[in-house]
Amino acid sequence: MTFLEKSPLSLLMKGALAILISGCGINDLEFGNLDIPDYQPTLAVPLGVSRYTMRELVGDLQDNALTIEEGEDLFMTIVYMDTSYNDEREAFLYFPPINKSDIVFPFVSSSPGGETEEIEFEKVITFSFDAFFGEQVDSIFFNSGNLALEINSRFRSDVILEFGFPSMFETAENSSVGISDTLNFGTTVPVTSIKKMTLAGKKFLFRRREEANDFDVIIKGKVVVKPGQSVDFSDFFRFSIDFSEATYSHVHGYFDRKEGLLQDRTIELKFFETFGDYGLDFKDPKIILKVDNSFGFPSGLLMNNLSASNNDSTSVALTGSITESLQFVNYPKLDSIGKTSHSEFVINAQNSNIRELFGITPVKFNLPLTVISNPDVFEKDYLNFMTDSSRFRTITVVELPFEVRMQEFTTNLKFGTDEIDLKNLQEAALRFYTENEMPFEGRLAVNFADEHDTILFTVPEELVLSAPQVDASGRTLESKKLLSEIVLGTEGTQALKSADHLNVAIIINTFNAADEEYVKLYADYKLDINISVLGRLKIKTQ
Amino acid sequence: MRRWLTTILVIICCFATVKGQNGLGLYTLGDAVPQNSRLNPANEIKGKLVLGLPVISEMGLHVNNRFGYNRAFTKLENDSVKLDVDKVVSHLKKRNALLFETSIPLLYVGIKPEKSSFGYSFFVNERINVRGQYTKNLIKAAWEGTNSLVGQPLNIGKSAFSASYFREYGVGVNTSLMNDDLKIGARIKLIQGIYNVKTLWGMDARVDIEPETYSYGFLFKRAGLNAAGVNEYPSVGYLLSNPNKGAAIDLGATWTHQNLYSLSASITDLGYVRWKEFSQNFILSDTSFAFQGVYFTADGDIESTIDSLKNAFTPKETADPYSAMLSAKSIVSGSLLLGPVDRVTVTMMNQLLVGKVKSAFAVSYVKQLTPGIVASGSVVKLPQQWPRPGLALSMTGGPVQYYIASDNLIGFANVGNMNTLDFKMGVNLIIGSGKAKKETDLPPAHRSKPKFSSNDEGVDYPTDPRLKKPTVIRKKDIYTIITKKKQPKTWKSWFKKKKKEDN
Repeated sequence: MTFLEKSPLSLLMKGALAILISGCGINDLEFGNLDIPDYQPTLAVPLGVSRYTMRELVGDLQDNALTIEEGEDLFMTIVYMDTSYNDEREAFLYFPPINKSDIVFPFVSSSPGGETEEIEFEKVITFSFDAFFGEQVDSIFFNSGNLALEINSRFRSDVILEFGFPSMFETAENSSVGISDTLNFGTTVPVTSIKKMTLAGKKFLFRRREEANDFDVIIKGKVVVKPGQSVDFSDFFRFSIDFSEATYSHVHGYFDRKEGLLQDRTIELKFFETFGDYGLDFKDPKIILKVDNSFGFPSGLLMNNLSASNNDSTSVALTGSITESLQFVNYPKLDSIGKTSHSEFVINAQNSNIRELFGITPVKFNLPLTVISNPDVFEKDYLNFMTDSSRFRTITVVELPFEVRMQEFTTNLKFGTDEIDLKNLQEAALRFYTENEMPFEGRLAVNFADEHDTILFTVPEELVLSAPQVDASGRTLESKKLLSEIVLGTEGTQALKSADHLNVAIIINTFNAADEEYVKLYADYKLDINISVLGRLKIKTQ
Repeated sequence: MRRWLTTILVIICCFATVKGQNGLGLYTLGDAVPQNSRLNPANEIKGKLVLGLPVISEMGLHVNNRFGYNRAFTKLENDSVKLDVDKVVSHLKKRNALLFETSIPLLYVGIKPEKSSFGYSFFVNERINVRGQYTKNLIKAAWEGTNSLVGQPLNIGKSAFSASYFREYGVGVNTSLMNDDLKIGARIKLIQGIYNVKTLWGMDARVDIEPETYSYGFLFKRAGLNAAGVNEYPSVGYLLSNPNKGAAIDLGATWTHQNLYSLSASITDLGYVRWKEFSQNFILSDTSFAFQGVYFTADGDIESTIDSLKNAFTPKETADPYSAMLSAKSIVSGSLLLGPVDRVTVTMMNQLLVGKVKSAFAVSYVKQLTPGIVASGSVVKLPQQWPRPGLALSMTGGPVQYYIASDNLIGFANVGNMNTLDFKMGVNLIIGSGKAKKETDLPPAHRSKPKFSSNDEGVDYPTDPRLKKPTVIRKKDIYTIITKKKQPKTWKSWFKKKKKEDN
């Protein structure tokens, strides 16, 4: 084995073998009592994204009563429309049931011995009924119903009667109307008879007096006294007239001044329920009342009870010139019976404080409208009419052109933390990346609160939307991108973990809002919001 | 969680850092060690009968790591050790290879009939191949969280993994041509697959996180996993024989030119396995999509968003058979024969990994120290490593051959800092390798001193019949002039002659 002593390679081998045999410190490799550190990854997670156009943003408000109108330049107007009807005709004319009766003494006497004696008589009876509330009916044109005539004779002889109604005519022929009847005496009195006549197609004319409406009944009779029968001055007959189930097609008269509710509507503006609380100012809001009237009398509208209220129960009443006077409502004239007349009333910033009403971001708009018939100020003593289909139809249009100013316009939101598992969260930072074409900037204010709404931690306000510049035509020039981060830190994260809920306020200011500048919102404006979170977790491994 | 982390740890500390086939240093011993025929089938069978004993004929471990134990673990005062993943991650490079191969020989028989230029072998080996590649970004994202990926796309397609356990039954043949100048050999193998897990070949998968919005962009193309036999409790019958069959071939050649230099080339494990039994495929649909969180403007809620995300990541599961290539390797080496017993060898081993060739290099000095002892000293450059010294030694005494080799000697000095470990040893029985005892077959330097006796002319003649009798030309005084002895043609003599001519 001399090679082991001489070769240089042999020296290397000797060294190598010495290292191999030395034990190599392999016992230093400990794995038994292994301490694995906690797993603490930092995760970048997108929470969500929303891409809105202004059209979609407003369209998503899910209010069926709301329509969005767009002009050719895509300028937007929110329109609420509501229609109400008032066909309570009795509010303007109370037409009482006609049920009259009277006793007629012909004052005849006879006891013929051999031949039958006929004694004729004629009486005019005037019936009247009170003109309630000053209603003086001139004529009634019946649609249906019956006139029932009940006669009760105390004559011990036959009586032949003809009832003439000088106030009643067949409408078509304008001919007079009468009823005849014969009451044959038997052995006892009274002798009773009932005659009926349909009212359909007939008109009834009344004589108007100050406090009553009169009509006459002319009774022509013949008492046929046969031998052996006798009548004297005390004999009489009773009759009654009953207009039953009478309906009319139209009524003429003077219906006097009365107040009624044209409508008692409350419009719910869900738009504001979703959209915010305070600080939203529309430049030119309008309420347009479109009234279609088929009542044939002058009337006026009172708008002094309109008001708006918001979620905080703050209420503002409508004031201004339009509320201080009656607004004349057009009506069909006598030659236009059955037709409607149209009137339109616009409540705007020039004749009212309507901007104040919308300034509280109302969720309810109360629109009680009082109508006054025959007010003294309009065409007094005009002959009124109404038909069986007379009514007021009121279309209320709330128009909100999207030219607005938002100054510290704040929307408050509340999010529960129940369903979020934050157990392993150590630190977090919320990140907002926005691309905004809309002419407003937005800040986010967040705080974490416990179940008693005690604030545990307040996150510093952060600008999350940047407002682009507006050109002379009112359009934004280009979108503005903004990356902002809300760092919660360890303290904030711990507060978030023990919070019951998050209070989030979105505060919006339109471009140059402080300078009283209004901005127009166009339907094609876009707003992209990306929300993500950077969170450091700590997961125990042992 | 602990289990999960431990699994990650094991992958990183073991599989992720194991690299390469058996040591290159051992390979330089050439046909002195029968096990080298696996890397070059052209290696001659040095004996009438060579027996590789089960298991003990090849025992070893080859680990190649970017970091050692001391980088991954910190000893605490209370005798415990702390895993320092941050330190591990910081030490990783952009791309990191995953390779592990081991072989348990069940049988090796080599036969070289007398007076035949052919040698034959039959062998059975259990083999485990694990290979793969992972990027630092992937591990960083897993440990530090996805924040580390913001603005730095994660290309999962640059990571891949394959692990196979199979058995090879093979026959080999080698022969010499051109007066022993050219040796060629081939081995044909029948593969019996047992377990396999692999990502799809050509997978393209990317995750991109946008810096502003943290939205995720995903792209999947051929993303998925094949597996066979993994979820089954193996029965003995399954382990012995099942329908997961395959075939492979090893080819090699060595050419020696006038004892001046030699060149070798080989390609091994060129083949595949068709995995049929208990096969499972988990394949994601080819898709690309962006996840930006919940769409606040849509009707969907968080749950539906998460559901749709889950659906995108839910693979389609099938049981279709699939094929998987073996981990083919090629080796090219060249040797300068400095003398009859020593040479310098340069070796390069290549292996394909995720579409890229991974190479290892070795420069070795090999010397036949005695007829029965061959040793080599190497400087080995493994992927991910600085060059390190290695040593291989084969000792044959009688029919028993021992060999031992390592490609990283200095690592043993401090195991805690050891980045790569290479150690291999084994015992073979070689019967009929009498050549080593015939002095005339040995290079002169290894021969025992011949005995001389004087003849009548006063010339000392070697009594050793192996030596030629010198021809006496003339005598002068006390000298006897004989014919000049022809020196063997080597680089050493060539240089000596050249120097003489120059002078």
